[in-house]
Parts: sequence; C-alpha cells; structure tokens
Amino acid sequence: MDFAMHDAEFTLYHEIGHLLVGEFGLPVLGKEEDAADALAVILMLTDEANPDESANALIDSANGWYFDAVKSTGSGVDDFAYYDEHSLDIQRAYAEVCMMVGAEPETFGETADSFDIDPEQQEACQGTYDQASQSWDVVLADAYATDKPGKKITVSHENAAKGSEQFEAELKKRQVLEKAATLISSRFNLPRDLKFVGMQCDEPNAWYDPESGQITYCYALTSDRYDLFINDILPSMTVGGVAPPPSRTAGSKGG
Amino acid sequence: MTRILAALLGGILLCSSGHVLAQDYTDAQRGQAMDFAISSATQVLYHEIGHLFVAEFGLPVLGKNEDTADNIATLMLLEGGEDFADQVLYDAAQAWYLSPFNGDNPPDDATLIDEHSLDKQRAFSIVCLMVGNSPEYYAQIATDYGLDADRQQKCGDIYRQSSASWASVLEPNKLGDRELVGTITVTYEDPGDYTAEMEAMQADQFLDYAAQVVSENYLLPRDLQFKATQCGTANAFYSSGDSTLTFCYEFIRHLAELYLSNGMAEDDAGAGEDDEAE
Repeated sequence: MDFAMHDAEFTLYHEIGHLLVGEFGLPVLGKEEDAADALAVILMLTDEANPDESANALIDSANGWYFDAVKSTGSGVDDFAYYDEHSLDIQRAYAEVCMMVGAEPETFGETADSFDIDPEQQEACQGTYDQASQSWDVVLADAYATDKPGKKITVSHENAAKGSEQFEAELKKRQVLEKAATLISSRFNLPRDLKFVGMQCDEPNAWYDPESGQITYCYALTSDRYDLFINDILPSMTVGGVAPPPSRTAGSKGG
Repeated sequence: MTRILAALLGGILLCSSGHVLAQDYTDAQRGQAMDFAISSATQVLYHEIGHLFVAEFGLPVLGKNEDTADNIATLMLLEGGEDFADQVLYDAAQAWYLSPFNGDNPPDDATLIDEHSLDKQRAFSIVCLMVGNSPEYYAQIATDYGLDADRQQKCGDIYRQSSASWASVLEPNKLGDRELVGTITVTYEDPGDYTAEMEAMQADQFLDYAAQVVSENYLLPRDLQFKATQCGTANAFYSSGDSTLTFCYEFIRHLAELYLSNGMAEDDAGAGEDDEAE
C-alpha cells in the first residue's frame, strides 16, 4: 500500500505539471509528458515539509516505471510505443532517477547505481536537473504566489467501487490529494479555482482537463499499482526486504 | 557544454569502412547517397542550432533538452519557408527511422539511459510535427509511418503547442531592426580521407547558408563559429564553452552509407536526369 500511495503522489505531481503548463500557458518545446515528469521530481524534492517521504515516493515511482517496462516492453517495442507522446516506461524510469541523482547525489546515488547509471552519467545528470529546475523557475517566475490570496483548489473523493474501498480510504487517510493541493495553491498564484477529484474510473489513469481545470485521479490506478507491487516487485525483492533494486536479471524476465 | 548528437549511431559505425562507398556502387548511386546524406544532415545541423539557441538565448527547457533541439529543428524547417525544407524533413525522418534498431529487438540499456530519444522516436516526432502542421499536405508520409487518424489529430495539438511555444521564446531574440552583435564564422577544416564529404558540404553551402540564416535573423550575443572537421566519430555538437558548432565529416559519410546499405539507391540512378542539390 505504501508503494501504491507513493505512486499516487508522483502521479499527482506529474498531472500538476500538465496543470501548470495549461493554466499558465508555459512554453513546452519537447515532450510535455517528459516535462511533467521532470516537474514532479522537482516539486517533490523541494517539498521541505516531507523530505524523507518524498525521497521514498520517488524511488518507488521509478521502480514502478521500471517494472512496468519489464512487463510491457520486455518482449519487444512496437511502433505504437515509439510514436506515443509518452516516452517508454523504461526511459521514464531512467529520466526520473537521473533527475533525482542530479539533484541529490548523496541521497540517490545508490538508487542510480542500482539502475546501472554509471558515475559519469550520474554527474551529467546534475546538469540535466539544474537545467530543468532553472527552466521551470524561469517560466513560473510570474506564477509564484504573492501576498494576494490566490484561487483555491477543491479536493473531493467520489465513492469507490466494491473492492476498491481500501484505496479510497487510504488516499483520504494520508491526505494525498489534499497535501498536493495545499502545496500548489500556496506556492502558485492560480488564475482560477481548480478541482482535484479522486474517483473509480474504468481504467488505471489520471489526467488534467484544461477545460474544466480538474485533475482526476482514479482508484483503479491505485489498485493497479498495488497489484504491480504484489505480483511483480515483491517477488524480486531481496530477502532482507530493503528497497527493491531493479537488477539486470529482472530486466530480462519479459512479460 | 557539449551535446553529443550521435551517440546512438555507434553501433552502425562498426560496419562502416568507407570502402563500401568506393567499390560497390555506381557513381550515380554514390551521388544519390551523398544528396541524401547532405539533406538529412541538414536536420542534424538545425538540431545543433537548436542547442545553440537554448544556450545562447537561455531558452527554458522543461523536458528533455535533446527533444527540444529536435523540435526546434523541425519547426524551423517547417516554418522557415525554404525550398529544401520538405526534402530535408523526409530524408531526416527516414534516416532516423532506419538507424539502429530494426525488427523487434528492444534497445539496450545504454541507449535507453541516453538523453536522446531513441532514433525511431525521433523519426516519429518529425513526422508528427509535419502532419500536425498540415494534415492534408503531409497525409502520405503520416500514412507511410503508420500514424492513424487519432494519432494525427494529437499531432495537431502537439504541433500547435510546440509552434506557439517556439514563437514565444524566440520573439525576444529576433534581430528585427537591432544592430548585429555577434556573427558566425564558417570553416571547413582539413578533410583527410573525407574530401568527397567536404566538397559535397561546400557545394551545398551546408554550414554557410545555415550560418547566414541564423546570424541575419537572430540577435546573437557574441561571435560564434560553425566548423566542419574530422572527429573520429560520426557526430555533431554545439559547445557553448568554445562557442562552436562542430559538424563531423564522418557523420556525412555515415548517412551516405546508411542510404546505400539499406538499398535505397536506384539501379539506374542518374541516367539522364541528374539533379544536383543546390
């Protein structure tokens, strides 16, 4: 459940990246999906309220991408994946870890090592993180909150479907949506009132809708992450049960 | 800061000998291959100009730097109104598509860690912006690359976002009525065994023309250099520290060989209709 909640945090901050692009009309010259991933890392690493929690959440979400990749691309990459607006799951894992180790080499050096990112690349990642962090800072310069009270983000949870009640309850208990909403509304001068909504959905997903100004997070995604951990990650963990290092052998398991 | 462009091409280089060009093909086929090489290399040159813009103008890069440079290159070509642009885009997409991984083999870890997108992704990104720019005009290439209607529509959104973003970050850096500050010096260094590549680049005014486009339209904050040289590897890069854009002769040869080794040259090429690149 910790793993699923950590993934939910990363996912929310990723969607908040899309939200900031949409609400403030930010210039995106590469893939917006990668930009949103980068912002998620930056926001979580600069959330001084919960540094340890953020670090663990980032490690878990990178592992999530990694194990997704083992499942989805272990048996080959089709053209659809190449032209998707998202990078491949495995690229997202590496990019996330690169940002992490670039920002905090001490905290995340071990994680980067376990992803086989060599020392030279880890050092280059500092440039990657700095560029992303500075770029977001520049484009958000006018968006940072001033003394004026900004607009509000309303958080709500719709009822979960039978079998998913535990996920709705856990999200509420940990205030995952509420904490993200508070961070964003206090840090930025939002141009209008926005909504963060937890709901069941048919598929494991989360999205920002620029028209309604709403981020939707699906309990089906929590459930999906929960299953990934139980079925794929847990079995590969070492007996000691420390952080699951995605070893090379795991990479060849296939789907 | 050096931005390596062609790290992904290393695998291909292992089978390049240079002798392939000289012995196994007709003059006409080699001419075709060189045209393709210069044309597709133009996209690479614009990609490096993308890095130059990011570095010299301090443009914000919210996602991946390499994708940003690719998109700047494609947008400059799509929107620059140059006669050669379409051919460059078609050839560049093809070059990236044909590049390393064919078939169903997953790319290796080093390639996936690399800050560049995979070569095939880069091909699709070019095609996506093309069809996003004009679904009718580029309908055929979109179909050739298997972009379905749904995807093509998304490409429209991606194009509009990229184009608007590009316009907004570019605007303050346009020269307009202002006086020049920096200019660009072009040099073609000793080609060694790459005389044919150098001559093709010079005949095309490969570096010269791009340097002119950049220096006449943008307010460069300092003097810069565009340089063709031997690098020992098929690469191109912009180094902010040296204020130099370097294009390796080896890269031109690599692209020509890619063309030939994929059987793209026609058997009766050039018989009667020799179309020199301009």
